[in-house]
Amino acid sequence: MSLMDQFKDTLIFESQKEFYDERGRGARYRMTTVGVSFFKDAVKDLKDTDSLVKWLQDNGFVEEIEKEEDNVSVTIKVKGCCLKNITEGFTKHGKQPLSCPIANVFMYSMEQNGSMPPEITPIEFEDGVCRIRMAKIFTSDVV
Amino acid sequence: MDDVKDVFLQVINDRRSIRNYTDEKVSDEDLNTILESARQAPSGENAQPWRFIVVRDEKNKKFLSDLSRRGSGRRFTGEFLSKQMHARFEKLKDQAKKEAAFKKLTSGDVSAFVNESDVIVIVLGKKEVWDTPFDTSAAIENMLLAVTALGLGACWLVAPCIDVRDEKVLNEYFGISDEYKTVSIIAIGQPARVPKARPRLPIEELVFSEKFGESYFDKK
Repeated sequence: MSLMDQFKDTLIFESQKEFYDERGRGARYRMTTVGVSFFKDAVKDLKDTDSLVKWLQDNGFVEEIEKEEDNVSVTIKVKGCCLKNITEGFTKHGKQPLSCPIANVFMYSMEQNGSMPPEITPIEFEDGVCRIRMAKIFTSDVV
Repeated sequence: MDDVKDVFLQVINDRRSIRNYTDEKVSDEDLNTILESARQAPSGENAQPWRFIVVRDEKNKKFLSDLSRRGSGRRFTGEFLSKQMHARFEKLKDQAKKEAAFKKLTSGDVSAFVNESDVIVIVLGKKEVWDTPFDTSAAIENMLLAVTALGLGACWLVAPCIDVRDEKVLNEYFGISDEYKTVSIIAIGQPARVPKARPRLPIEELVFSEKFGESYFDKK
């Protein structure tokens, strides 16, 4: 990674961390659309999640995405994410990552497919892989 | 002056988050008193970044109810799926009660009551000001205390605006300028039921002497 890229990653992490330090856990609710406008412009059709995954892989944003879906949620496992350093910045400090632009665009895609805006559950990060579960909010009958 | 002190402390101690309301209306005079209380809140550099939208129209209140349900429901569904909610209710051993609580939270019903109140006040804060979150929070607390002093009830909610996606929908609906953010909404009405005071952490755990962690009260 170039020095300039390291600098940019550090800036993103520090900005997010400062926001967390100011707003606390609530900061995550202010970041649920971060990155979406970029993907809307770049990918065009965000309704088709398979095409979205292919686009992210083809353009080097991620190495691999595994997607699982059940009645109440969609889970993605993201390997080799270009934003890994920012995630690691949080986990190294024993904090949950604040936001995930990849998950945000998936949530937007779910909305395009009829869900109400989904909820992202805490991002799990282990051995360089993020596991992100997003709750579908079609109805409230999940209990 | 003792009377003032006693009455003031009584108002603070009597304040509750009211989620059940009668059909009784809030008079214009009382509402003006509540809004005037907000206007008198402290404000950094006297910037007074607060603005208020008074909502009484049933259709608009229903919109806020639906958005609140959606916001709360989403947040608590996430907590349910990630088991955070189970940890929070760990001490509750009655399974039926626990399930009922889970349902109330994940359905968003815990916040959907707002349209049962007579008035909803949307609290906005000007963005281009240093202290907007603090100033508007002080204004809101003044309003809640005024509501209590007037024998009314209120509930302060962020459910329809804490998530940026919901706030955007709310701001578009009410035509809120991009110069402002929606901070909270406050439901106000005549209480149908006044809940018991929620437990508070012991003051010994909250106050330190000279240095963080050094108990203030243990030293006395």
